[in-house]
Amino acid sequence: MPKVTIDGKIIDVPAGTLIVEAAKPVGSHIPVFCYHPKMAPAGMCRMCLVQVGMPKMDPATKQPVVDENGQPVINWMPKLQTGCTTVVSEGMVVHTTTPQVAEARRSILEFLLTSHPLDCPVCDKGGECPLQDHTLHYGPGNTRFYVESKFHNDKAVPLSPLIMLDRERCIQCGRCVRFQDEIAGEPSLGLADRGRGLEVTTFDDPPFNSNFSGNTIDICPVGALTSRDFRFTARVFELNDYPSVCQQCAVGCNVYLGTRDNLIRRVTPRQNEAVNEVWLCDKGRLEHHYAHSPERVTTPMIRAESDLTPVSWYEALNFVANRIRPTLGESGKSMAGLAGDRLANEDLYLFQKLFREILGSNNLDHRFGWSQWNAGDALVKNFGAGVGTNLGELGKGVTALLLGADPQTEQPVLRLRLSKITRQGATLVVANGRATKLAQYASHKTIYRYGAEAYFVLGLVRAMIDAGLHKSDKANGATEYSAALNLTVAECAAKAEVSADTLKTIGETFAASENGIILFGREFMYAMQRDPAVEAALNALLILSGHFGRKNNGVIALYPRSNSMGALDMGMTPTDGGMPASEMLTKAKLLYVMGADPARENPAFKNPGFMIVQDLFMTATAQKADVVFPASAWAERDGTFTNTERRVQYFARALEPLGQARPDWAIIQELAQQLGAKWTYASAGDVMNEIAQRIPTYAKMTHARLQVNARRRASVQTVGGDAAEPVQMALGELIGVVSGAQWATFSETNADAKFDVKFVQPADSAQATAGVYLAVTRALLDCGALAQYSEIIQTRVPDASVEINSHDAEAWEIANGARVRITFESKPPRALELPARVDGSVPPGVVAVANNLDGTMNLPMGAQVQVTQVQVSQAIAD
Amino acid sequence: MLSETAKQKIQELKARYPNARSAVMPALYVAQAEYGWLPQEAIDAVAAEMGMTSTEVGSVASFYTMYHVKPVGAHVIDFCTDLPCALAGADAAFARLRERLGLDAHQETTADDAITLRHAPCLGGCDKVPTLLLDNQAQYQNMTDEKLDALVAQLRVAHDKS
Ligand code: SF4
Ligand code: SF4
Ligand code: FES
Repeated sequence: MPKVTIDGKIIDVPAGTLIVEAAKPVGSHIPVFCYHPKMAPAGMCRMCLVQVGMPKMDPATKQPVVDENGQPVINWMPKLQTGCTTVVSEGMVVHTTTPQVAEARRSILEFLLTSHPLDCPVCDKGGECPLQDHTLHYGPGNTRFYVESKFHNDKAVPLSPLIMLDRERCIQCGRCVRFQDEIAGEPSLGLADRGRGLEVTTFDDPPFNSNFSGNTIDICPVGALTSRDFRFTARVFELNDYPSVCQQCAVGCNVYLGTRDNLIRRVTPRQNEAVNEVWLCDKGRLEHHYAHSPERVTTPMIRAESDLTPVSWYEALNFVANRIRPTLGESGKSMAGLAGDRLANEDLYLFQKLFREILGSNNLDHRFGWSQWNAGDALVKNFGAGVGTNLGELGKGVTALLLGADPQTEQPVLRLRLSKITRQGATLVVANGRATKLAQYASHKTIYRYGAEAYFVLGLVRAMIDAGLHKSDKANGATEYSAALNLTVAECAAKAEVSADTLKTIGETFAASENGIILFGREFMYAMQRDPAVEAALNALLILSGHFGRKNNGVIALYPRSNSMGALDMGMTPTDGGMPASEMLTKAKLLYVMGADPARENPAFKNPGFMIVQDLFMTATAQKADVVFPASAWAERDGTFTNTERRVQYFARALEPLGQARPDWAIIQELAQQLGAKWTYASAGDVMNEIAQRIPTYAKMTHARLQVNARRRASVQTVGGDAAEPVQMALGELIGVVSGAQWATFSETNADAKFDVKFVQPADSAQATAGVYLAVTRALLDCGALAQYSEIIQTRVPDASVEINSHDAEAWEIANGARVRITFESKPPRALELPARVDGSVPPGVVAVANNLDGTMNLPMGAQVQVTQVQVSQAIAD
Repeated sequence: MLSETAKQKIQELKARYPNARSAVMPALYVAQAEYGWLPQEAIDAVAAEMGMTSTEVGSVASFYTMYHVKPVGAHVIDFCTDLPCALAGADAAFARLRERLGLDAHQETTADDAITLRHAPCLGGCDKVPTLLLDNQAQYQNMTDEKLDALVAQLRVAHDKS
């Protein structure tokens, strides 16, 4: 490690460290504009100039020359150097505070300000602007340029529905362009022209259409890129920034909810190096609008005669309790509870406790659209990725295998983080039935035949065993397994329609890798549900590769919602003979639906006799209810979510509740009390304390512990001193903050445990052999339950379409954009009519439709879908 | 729309470089030859052929002055008015030529779309002043007023014929 001297302080830093980074630990502040620790240096702004010297070497002895005091003689470089591009080396001496450096900073700032409008009083960045801060701290107090001679340019250029560009304020640092290119992998912003005419722009249509575009607002070091969602709604120093967790997908990105006057004004990323680093996707940034929707339900309601009528909480609770009380003590078997997996752990825990302990029923589920999909749950419980795994830091010695996943639409920020791991030295394998965005970063990518997932995985297992790379020390039945596995790699490859070499390479690479992680997504979960052989094969791959039970090893399920993992952990599943969702909707007599809307996806859904709905909105299900309890939005209460990699994270309360809405856990407690329970939880924290005591994996996970590093943001910064975090974000002065806690899996807590491996013969489903298969995918931005309340998201939601391979399109004589009719197997057979999108992302024999868009909402998910007919229903008008 | 020949040419160009993206610059020339300049449509077409985003292609096109991101006349005269040429009277020659072409101070292209006249930075012909570049191709040096008039006349004839 090179030893360098910075401002007289000596420090050892890893080879390759840049001067700007080396200066941070010694407390020297080097101002930057274009540099950002998450991106490659560009050296575009010259703000980081410092004085650099190297020890003078004696050519004969190759030793540093020393002066009479025994100190090395320093050869100062004749000109100042950029600290953001200069890598430290042994003996380097850096001065960051000399008059020469101060003069350089002053000049750069004066130069930047010659063409800067200085309209800070009407600029959204004002108060968290690095240009303001640097100018105050290092800049000239005055200008030699008068307003008349200033450069003028366009002030409010809409770059996209979300982003407004002020061309006068842009200091041409290129951070936004580099972010889109390097980090987002969606190069939809560019620099046009050059010199004085240089402009940030987009040539794309739709313009600047990236799901990560909002991040450019945060990292722009001036107010050139501002959010059209937030613009002029508050000064940043008036905001209260509460620490929260994004509720839109299972990544669980850490956010600040910036509120003013009890309204969320903006959502910005809160750093968590283990989860979202400093990024967010646009969905997470924009979906908060639902919390303030005028359509929120704000009072309890009961059905009097035919209409739902507002009543007091007392009446509503009494109404329900009176209805339930007579049946208490008998059997609760006819009562069932369905809860959404966007709710907090505290809510889900009390919900199942109410059912199991007060009502005496195990009829609990949270996966209604997913039929009874518990496939894969055991894998996560036993072999979930080891504690300490940081998916953004995977590097040398790690192979990450993605199966049937499309993180770009399922878990966007995860895609962002996985995109860089090959650059860090990791091996990334992407296997799915169609092309996905992440595949463009993969070391090995392959497209298997939908329906042949079991063969694909078995091929990997066979390749591993053939190469003698398997480990049997934690397996029961390894020898029998390999005897029973009566398929060669070539046979598996033929079934999966991939090359045998690919299968062999992937299997061997994964097995031989020091660490191995498997991530499976929605499409793979469909496959697991369809054929138990898929889960059995994956189980064997994990156990026989030995990739579990420690950091950077194990499996991660890309669950669909922010707390799907927590719902499993809290016991929101039909254990001990309880009815799963698919049954309870028809067999239960009393249904309690919390934060879920089964009627939206299934219009045939009926009130089974008596139904309680607890929600924020008058959902399709709520309209059929007997009682409606108004629940608080997540921002109106605190709680915890468990993300896709089992990290339990705390979110704070940021808003006063709307009307009479109450937190879900509190409503459940009141109902339980009405029914005679002696529950006395004063807060969500109390519930969490009980969870920590009763659920072994959650031991010690109290709110206090989870709040470490998840505090409110100090919104007023001090110049040059402790900068508040938004400023640090824009300045690129990031420290490695991590918060939340991962629970340890069974294989981690039971190091000596052995696991059964059993061969299960794959069911030869029709898709694996012939015909056209309908792949059910997701669009990231949709008209989902919550997204519909964000206007900006709605402008960017794509129209539903059916993706068709260009060869198929030619064979079927379907032109791009033509309306086609697809008839597919289901009971009874159904058809869809949508415009065709002929592109390269689906292989021949597959058509893909996203089932979360207008017109496709009630597509069957994961059922065995065989397409029986594809025909043009209407030619396109020219 | 880009012609099939142009598309094919771009594909051939891509094959010539170890990194196919490097062909974006010659590909832009192919498109420019076809459209006369580079409208958004041409940029989109090159992007589609190159497998890049329109923004990536557009930023390259707008960086170099030899790509025309605004419409130009049939012939483009890049007239050097950089310091050595200016000292040798290029400004006056430029102004005179502009007048000859009937252009006012904000106009670059003649009304009949025959000729575009632009200021150019140093063309490297400082010893044979005035100097100009015609159609990104040929350098003309020692351009006296007579020679300039003759050149313009010749370009006009060529334009009228086509
Ligand atoms: S818009 Fe902002 S981030 Fe982009 S180049 Fe200009 S100053 Fe930099
Ligand atoms: S990736 Fe998921 S958790 Fe993160 S901001 Fe987007 S929707 Fe929210
Ligand atoms: S040149 Fe170093 S921060 Fe911009």
